[in-house]
Amino acid sequence: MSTHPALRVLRSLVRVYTRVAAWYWGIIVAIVVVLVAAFGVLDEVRISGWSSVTTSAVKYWILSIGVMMPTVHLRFFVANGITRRHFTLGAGLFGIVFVTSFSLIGLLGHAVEHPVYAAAGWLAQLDEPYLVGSVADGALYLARAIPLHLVHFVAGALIGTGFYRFGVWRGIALIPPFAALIVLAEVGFGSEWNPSLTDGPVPFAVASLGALALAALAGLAARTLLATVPLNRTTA
Amino acid sequence: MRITADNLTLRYGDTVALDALTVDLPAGSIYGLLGRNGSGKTSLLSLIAGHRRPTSGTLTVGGADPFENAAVMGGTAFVRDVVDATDAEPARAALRFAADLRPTFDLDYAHDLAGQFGLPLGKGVGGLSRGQKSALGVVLGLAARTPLTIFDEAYLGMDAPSRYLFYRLLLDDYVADPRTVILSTHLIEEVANLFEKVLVIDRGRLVAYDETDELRGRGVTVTGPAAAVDAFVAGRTVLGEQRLGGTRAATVYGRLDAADRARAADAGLDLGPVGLQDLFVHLTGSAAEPRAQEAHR
Repeated sequence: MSTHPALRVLRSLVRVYTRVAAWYWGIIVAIVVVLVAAFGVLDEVRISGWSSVTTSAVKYWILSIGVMMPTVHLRFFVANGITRRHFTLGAGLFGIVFVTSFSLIGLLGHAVEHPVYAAAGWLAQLDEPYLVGSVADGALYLARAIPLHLVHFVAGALIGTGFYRFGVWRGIALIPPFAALIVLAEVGFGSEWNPSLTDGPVPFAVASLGALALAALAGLAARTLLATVPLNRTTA
Repeated sequence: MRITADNLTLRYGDTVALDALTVDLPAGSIYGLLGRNGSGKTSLLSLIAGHRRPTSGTLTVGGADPFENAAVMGGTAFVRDVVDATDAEPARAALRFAADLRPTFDLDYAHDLAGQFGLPLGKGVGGLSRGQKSALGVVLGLAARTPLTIFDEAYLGMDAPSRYLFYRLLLDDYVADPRTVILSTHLIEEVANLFEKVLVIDRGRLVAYDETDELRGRGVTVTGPAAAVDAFVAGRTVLGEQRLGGTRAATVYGRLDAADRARAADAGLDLGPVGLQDLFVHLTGSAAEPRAQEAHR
């Protein structure tokens, strides 16, 4: 019995991005190690190196991968006999796997960095409390990171869909409304402006579930827009 | 897979790519699809492969609408002049990608074909020459082993030995595993012997559709004294003509019966065959325009 087409899409995307992700995290880890070591030598460690380097970088990286789903990958899958609806379903599953793994790696980075900071005596001199200092913090971290990353992934897919379906100029015009999804989710958590995990403008659970709902709705919108899109002949 | 189009129309804005095209292609043949640049060949093939939807009319492949039909799209391999593989990935990854997605894809056969074409599988697709990219597309199409395989100018840039290798491989594979194959090409005479049936479209309309030999038999070149030729072709459809002094050669569209041939012989006229390419040029040239609907069948 052959595998469901959406699962074949998922497997192919995981195969493609496993190597890409390995390179990405290898570079990130190298940057963090060099930065923390440099500031450590100067005894000027005031922030979490891991948080500083990964927080925005990961979100924008995930956003760009989302953009690539319709603009780069769609035609290859359709050309290999996959329907658009199976592609969008498989890409959605991939998005979940992808952002969850990135969020877990983000958490793992904190789990590794925290004892290093503790051993070096840097925790006490941080400008803000260390973001993930306990198992409970870790759970909250994931409950924030996964929905936020999902929104970035799906907003990226919507932006890419805008370009793929409507062309360059209308695609540019559609960036603000699609990017507004990200702003909305960020505002819910207060994550860019507030280093605390739970001290956002709305209750944490509302922000977390709201972001998940936003991602689901945006995913459905992308699926609908791609359902009838003609295949372009552009090269990748 | 049988392909049936009924009044199939496709518009891009104000441009009519396919104009009420009606045709029926039974399963299990190699079809040649001929047409000038911009005649609507790729548009027709894109519809058959489910890459886009028609503006109006109906199209069925294997009895079903191909658009977003998982069974039809999974059973169709559409190899375009642009190879559908990521430039940054090695060619080997493109084969693996197809094998991941198509249950029918024969990866061992694909590697064998790649070897025969001398494809450097470790090289990035973007770094392949035009001919190598075409060879990769051909490999992907043949190894897909789908009931419907479409090659749309798939061998652009391939050198002559590679093209002839492709023709041989296609024929061998077709004999071993009969299926429906559509070849769109401008290299008409080179591929003509592969075609069992030929479709000619021009400006989105079907100009001719017949078995290859029948189509060849539709055209006759009548050569002889100008006056005799003029008399013979009067009332017939003249696709083109050449004059040299008092001699005229006219290409006539339409089959001649025994009486016609006898009359030509009595008038001292020579009757010669018309090559498929010549017929195509005549059918799709401006002189052929008034004939388009008459030839439609």
